[in-house]
Amino acid sequence: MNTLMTVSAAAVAAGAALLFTTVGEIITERAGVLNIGLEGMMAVGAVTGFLVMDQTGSAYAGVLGALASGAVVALVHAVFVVTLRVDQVVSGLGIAIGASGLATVIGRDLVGVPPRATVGTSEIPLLSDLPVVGDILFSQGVLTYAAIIVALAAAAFLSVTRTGLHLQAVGENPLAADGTGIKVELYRYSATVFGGALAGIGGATLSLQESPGWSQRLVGGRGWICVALVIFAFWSPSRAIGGAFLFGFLQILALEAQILDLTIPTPILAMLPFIGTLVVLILISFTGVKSRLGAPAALGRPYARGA
Amino acid sequence: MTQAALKAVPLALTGLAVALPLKLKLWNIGGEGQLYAGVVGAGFVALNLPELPAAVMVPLVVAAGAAGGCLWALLAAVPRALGAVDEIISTLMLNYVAILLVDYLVTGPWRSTEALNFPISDSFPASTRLPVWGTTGLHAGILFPLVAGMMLGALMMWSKWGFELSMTASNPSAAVIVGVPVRRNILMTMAIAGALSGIGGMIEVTMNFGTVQQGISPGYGYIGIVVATLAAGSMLGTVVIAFVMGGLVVGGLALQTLGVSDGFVLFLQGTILFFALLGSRLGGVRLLQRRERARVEPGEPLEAVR
Repeated sequence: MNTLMTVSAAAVAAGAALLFTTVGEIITERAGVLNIGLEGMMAVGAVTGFLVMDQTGSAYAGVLGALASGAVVALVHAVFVVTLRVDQVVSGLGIAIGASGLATVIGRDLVGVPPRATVGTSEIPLLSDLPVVGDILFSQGVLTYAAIIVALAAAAFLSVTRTGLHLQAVGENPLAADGTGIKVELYRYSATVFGGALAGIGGATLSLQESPGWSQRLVGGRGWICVALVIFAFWSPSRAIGGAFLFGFLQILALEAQILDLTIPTPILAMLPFIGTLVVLILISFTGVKSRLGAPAALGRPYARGA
Repeated sequence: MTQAALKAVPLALTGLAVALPLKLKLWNIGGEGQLYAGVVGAGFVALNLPELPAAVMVPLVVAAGAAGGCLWALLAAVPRALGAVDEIISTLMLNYVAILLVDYLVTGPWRSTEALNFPISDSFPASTRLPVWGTTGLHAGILFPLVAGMMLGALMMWSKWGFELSMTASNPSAAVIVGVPVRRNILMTMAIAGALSGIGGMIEVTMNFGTVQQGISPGYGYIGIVVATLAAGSMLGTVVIAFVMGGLVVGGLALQTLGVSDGFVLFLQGTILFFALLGSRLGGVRLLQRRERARVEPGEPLEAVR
């Protein structure tokens, strides 16, 4: 494999965690619930995934643990914003801060522990023999394929299934949805918990596949990048695939600087995803593209029957 | 007690940095980055002009710290004011950029030649230290949150500017119609917020570390969000809560050296926030006024400005 292909394959691998988390948040937001606590849910998922793997010796048990832990954290958010109807930004910030802290506490004795098992790579028969794309796309970790499948499935779910359309109705006009008998609270709870579960898996993708292990800085802002990626993807799960891999590319530049013969210092390269996010947001806003394109109309607004 | 009070100083400043833009329903989540930008500003002066006498040096590091934080906040505030770029994400992105900037400086251009194995800068000259009262250890840094809290509190309550801010928050379209300079106020609140966080960073680096390095803040910028939220956006309330919570909880626990980590402090802060939200909800009191058209939707709030 030449340099460019190595880097491209690494970019796809690094995009997987972002993709899981972004797709989860898209589903949550399409139901009208904003959860900016992704950073915290990813951290809890990452550390729980690693912990469960360390206890059981099975990386897939770890992924399940991460899924469950992310869902539980998101459930807290759902209780506060759907039932108690507190400000979604405040609750989300509370999740981001509190859950990141919780992850550090859980992982205190796991820093530097070598992983007993990891999620392996799998070459897709036939497809991995294709020139170029075979190495870049079809010789990836199992969770990377899963992320792409989840994104495509989520896109189909939203546009084809009855439940998906109901979910969109809840996010666009909860009053009307309620009027037709759709259970608004149930949809919002489910979508929020589902988003948390995917953010948890996103975290586990980091701790069990991308760079197996746990440290306080493992998630390192990826959750916040995913909050921006939702806007970048205009709330579409399939468009999130490209966005996630683009930002995966920006992330691995710092890691692969030596392979690429870059003489730019590592900390400067590591800024790229964050500066890139900023630039993208500014471009979306200034180039006349409506930044609310695709945004659910009732996003961030609590719904109370009769209110 | 003195130690606990001093712990609350950066916290009160980052708390105010959240509370002030919140008057415009803007979320400044960038206190952490603005604090580190203040560290860099102070470091720039201290490391490049070490010969200066204290009488010149102290005001200069204060100004440099404030300028660093101010600049960092404006990087997010300008796109917000001109293009309605969501400030939650932009201020957050800048947190990571600031921390990486410190990383770059202490592993590159500012790396001390004396501390070979540690990525830290040269030591600051003693002239950068703020005045200390006798043997108490209490230093002049404590004046910044107290004075800023009182001044901002008075401005919010009695000045035309304070009225402009609350009017813009409650009805942006009306504010624009009657000629309130909404854009300028966005820039101004964010600039002051950044300067306050930057001063917090300056105080920490000159008084507690004496060298530019990583880990100067255990998350003051984030805890400041909790503090300002608990104070329901009140300026004086923010300072008081910072001293109660920051002083007693953060300082108190850390002082007992129970091996309490930064992570535990953050976890505790998040938990306190949720219990406060729960309490205010069950008690029928709103901790923060409900944001109609929750302002986080990019491009949505202050739409009339455009």
